[in-house]
Amino acid sequence: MQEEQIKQIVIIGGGTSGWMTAAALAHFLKNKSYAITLIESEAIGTVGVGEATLPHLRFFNQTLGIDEAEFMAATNATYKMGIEFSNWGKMGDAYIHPFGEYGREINGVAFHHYWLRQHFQGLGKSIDYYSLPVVAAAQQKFMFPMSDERSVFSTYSYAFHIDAGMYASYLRKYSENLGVVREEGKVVAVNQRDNGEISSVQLETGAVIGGDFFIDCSGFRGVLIEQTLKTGYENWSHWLPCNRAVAAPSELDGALLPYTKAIAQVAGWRWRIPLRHRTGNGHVYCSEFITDQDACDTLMSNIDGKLIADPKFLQFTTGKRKKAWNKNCVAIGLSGGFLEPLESTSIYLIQIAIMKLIEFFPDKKFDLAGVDEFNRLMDMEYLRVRDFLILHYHATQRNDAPFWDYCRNMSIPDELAHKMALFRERGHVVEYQGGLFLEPSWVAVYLGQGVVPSAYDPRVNWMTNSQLEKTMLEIEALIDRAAMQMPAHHVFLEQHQAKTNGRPRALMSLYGGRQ
Amino acid sequence: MTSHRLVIYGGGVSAWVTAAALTNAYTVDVLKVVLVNPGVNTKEPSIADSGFTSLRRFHASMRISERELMGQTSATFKLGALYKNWSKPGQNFIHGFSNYGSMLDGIDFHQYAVLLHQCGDTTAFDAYSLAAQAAAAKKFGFLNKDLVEQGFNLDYSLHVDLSQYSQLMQTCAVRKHLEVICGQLDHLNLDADGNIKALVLTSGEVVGGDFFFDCSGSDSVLVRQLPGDKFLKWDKELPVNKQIDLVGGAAKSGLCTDLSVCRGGWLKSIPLKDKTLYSLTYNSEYESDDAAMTAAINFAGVELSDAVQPLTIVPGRRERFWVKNCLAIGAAAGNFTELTFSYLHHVQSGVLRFIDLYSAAGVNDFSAQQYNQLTSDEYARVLDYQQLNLLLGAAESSGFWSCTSKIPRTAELQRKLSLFKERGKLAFEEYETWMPGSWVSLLLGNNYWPEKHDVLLNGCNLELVVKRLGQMRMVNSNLAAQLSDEDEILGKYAILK
Ligand SMILES: Cc1cc2nc3c(=O)[nH]c(=O)nc-3n(C[C@H](O)[C@H](O)[C@H](O)COP(=O)(O)OP(=O)(O)OC[C@H]3O[C@@H](n4cnc5c(N)ncnc54)[C@H](O)[C@@H]3O)c2cc1C
Repeated sequence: MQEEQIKQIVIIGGGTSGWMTAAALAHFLKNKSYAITLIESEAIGTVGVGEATLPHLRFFNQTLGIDEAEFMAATNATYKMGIEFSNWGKMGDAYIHPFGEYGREINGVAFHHYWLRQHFQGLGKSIDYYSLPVVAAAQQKFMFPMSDERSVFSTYSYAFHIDAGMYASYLRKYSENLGVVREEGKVVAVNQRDNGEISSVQLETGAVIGGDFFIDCSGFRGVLIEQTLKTGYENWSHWLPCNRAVAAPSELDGALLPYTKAIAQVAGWRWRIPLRHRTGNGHVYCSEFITDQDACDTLMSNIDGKLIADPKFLQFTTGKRKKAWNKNCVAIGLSGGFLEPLESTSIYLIQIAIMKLIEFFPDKKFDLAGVDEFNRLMDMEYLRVRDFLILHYHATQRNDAPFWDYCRNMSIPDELAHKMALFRERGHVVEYQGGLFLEPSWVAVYLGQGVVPSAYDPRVNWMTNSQLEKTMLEIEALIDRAAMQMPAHHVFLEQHQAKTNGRPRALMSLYGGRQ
Repeated sequence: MTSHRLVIYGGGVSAWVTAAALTNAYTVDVLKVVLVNPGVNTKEPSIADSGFTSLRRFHASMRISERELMGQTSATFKLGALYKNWSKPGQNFIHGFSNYGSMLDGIDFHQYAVLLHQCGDTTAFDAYSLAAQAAAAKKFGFLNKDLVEQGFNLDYSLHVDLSQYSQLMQTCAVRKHLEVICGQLDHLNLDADGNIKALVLTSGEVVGGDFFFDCSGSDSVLVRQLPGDKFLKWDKELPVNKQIDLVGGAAKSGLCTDLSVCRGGWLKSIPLKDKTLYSLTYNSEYESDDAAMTAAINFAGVELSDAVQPLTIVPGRRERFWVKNCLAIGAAAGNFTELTFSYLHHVQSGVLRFIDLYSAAGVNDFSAQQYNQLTSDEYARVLDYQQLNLLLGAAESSGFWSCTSKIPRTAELQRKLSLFKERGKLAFEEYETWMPGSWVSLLLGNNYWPEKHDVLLNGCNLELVVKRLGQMRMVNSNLAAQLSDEDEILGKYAILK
């Protein structure tokens, strides 16, 4: 059995995915006589964007024993409680998709059904008012959530805006401390065994690095998974047509928002991500509907602070590698697939791939069933995120631009169509375990973008109108008071920057303790 | 406020449970619930049920006092199932609800058991289960908060008398707002779309409604008459066709449902406070009725009586459960064998899913579609679980058991088996009735050992593992010994009226 054990692990790529993988493997395989080498090329560089994260990243850090205060300092991080979507459902609309819940379940029925009943009566406010993370974020407030389930402060969680390059450097130090060896250089040739497995890679310098197990974190190129193993790519651009981005950081200007902004444009959308030392800006667009120049101009004319760097252009094809794990090679990060950053899911997908890789860690025989299971689970994650993203584009009434006409009229995956129909019919949100976005997220986007049910759960009718009104007012007031107690985001950042205490335990959940 | 009416047809367990759940979910001015009781024996389990832990959640959601319920239904605490002579002659394995061992260094406990097994260790897997240790010692108790916070648990469910349970559900439903009509169905009044407008009874009475529940047992009296209805037989998937039910005296302990193999099929016993339900499920191709009857009589330790006859069972399900404005619940929707399945769970899961999807105000087309999809998935996974039990039953190889390896399996079950065999990993499926841990302990407890252990255990300190696992076993048996005697705690807890 011992001779079947993998000894040499080679990671190609030193972007976010490469270093996250290296750090996690080094942590989980420590004292186990594995040699981990990471090859990266300064000449090629990384994509250098990717700054908005999900609460799951806290779990990743916690598992690796990384101190959150130290991590925040090292990455110039700010807190994030959600994403604000403007102009998606129609021009002038805005809603926040929070890392948290709406109201609370009453008598076993989800809050939005109570909200719908009032809504049909022409009463009540926008559902935003019944979610603490939404209200607090809008007021630019932040405070750590609490774990006591009875408290309204347990109804949300948080993530970060980070400098991804600095995170990679941080993880590099972490990994090197645990024995990971970094090789500088560009992979120019890949050698395979008779059975197609990769045996070694050759660098520009001529150096040959052999291994038993290769992890392809080489970005869009997919140096091993595609260029060598020709695994194939499933193209999803007919559903998610944006294929380019232009990004440019600027100096801080204005408020330090505890949320990401995603503002729909004529042929795509713009992001705005506040870090401690700068603001990340970008414009994701579809080249069939707008030129690079126009896209760049749109971005430039909307940047508040002074530019720090020249705008950088990126191209991509939305989709997924047919198999993330093929032979003795696993693709993690952009080499495995790309779903646009609308819901900040890329780093999450990297993290999930790493966790599953550790769960199904192979030996040199490469367990057949284990590899299949890994691929099946990753496919499920990608597909469910994909459908949730498509919803943002499809659920729109915008008819002011050909891009939106296309999105509104395109045919969507059957499963998504069924989900939307169920919500329209009676406000039902399809539940699943194997996937990221659960009921609160679907409710946020449906209601935020004008997908309104024609009926609600009849169970809520046990309340009289006046009882319902009273309950809704109570919840609204509770949240209002709670938000009032919270300090401003920038104040909280100053005061708690260096503190490790008071940070709640991280969970693999988007929504905080109660879920 | 509304004249919306839900009509239940049936007089057995499934009907009363449905009535109780619906009247609990909807107040009378929201939805009116009517039950038409045909007053005949419904073809569905009616003597005893061996519940799942979901049963207790159901009671809690209905605000039914467990203590009173136990007193009124001759209930016993159930900690799990005892597999006697199942996978190996002479081996007893208790499959408890609660966990086996606890995670060490972020790696699932069972991987350590696999590692030791590969080194020749022969410790029974249930030595790591507090539930199993407690059940073997006839002990039971409620763990205090400290223990729970340390990660111990002693999850339990109940064995209940089904006719008393039906009574209780009836009382609950009537107390809420159920209206009961006695009468048998003569025919259905359908509208042009095939929706049911009313049940016309033999008395001539017409019971109209907006939605109808077929709780008529495996005769599926209502859905059978709806357009496009179809029954999918599981004659290959669950190849049994007869069952003998016998009632005997109280068992020595009520903490486990017992299962064992016999030539024609399997034996199961459900211990209630004052009696025990013994059943023998078999395939008449492999065992004659007479021989089966003799085996059942011996098993139950009762006298032969003409009143008891083998029942014919037809495992299978309706192709669709929710058709138009009618929903089949319980045996009317599907017939599992009672092997490791709880009829109450089957019924409750069906009606709760309905409540989760039903809209009284508008159309229910997509809800119906979703219900049918989820229930098909749920049934498929239950079938997988039952088939796995049959595959594991290796203590007997003649008779019925000579055919079990040829049972066709779903891709999902095949995947579960190969993935587990390879390295002890459990494949994920959506909408499972059993938690991953239950599958794992069922497999390992019945000697289905993986070929390899988790790679992350390579090079670990074996001596330390042996020591830590030894400690776990010791803690379990010490803790079990400190619990109360089963009879004593049951006597105190269940409130007799
Ligand atoms: C416009 C845009 C916005 C995004 N926003 C977000 C966001 O807000 N949140 C989020 O979670 N994600 C976001 N992402 C995704 C995120 O940027 C990536 O998931 C993340 O950066 C990981 O990239 P990577 O490490 O896989 O690839 P890269 O960053 O491309 O790294 C590839 C590495 O491989 C090396 N390499 C490549 N070829 C060779 C070779 N031949 N030899 C040696 N080394 C080689 C490179 O030098 C580099 O080190 C965004 C992506 C885009 C395009």
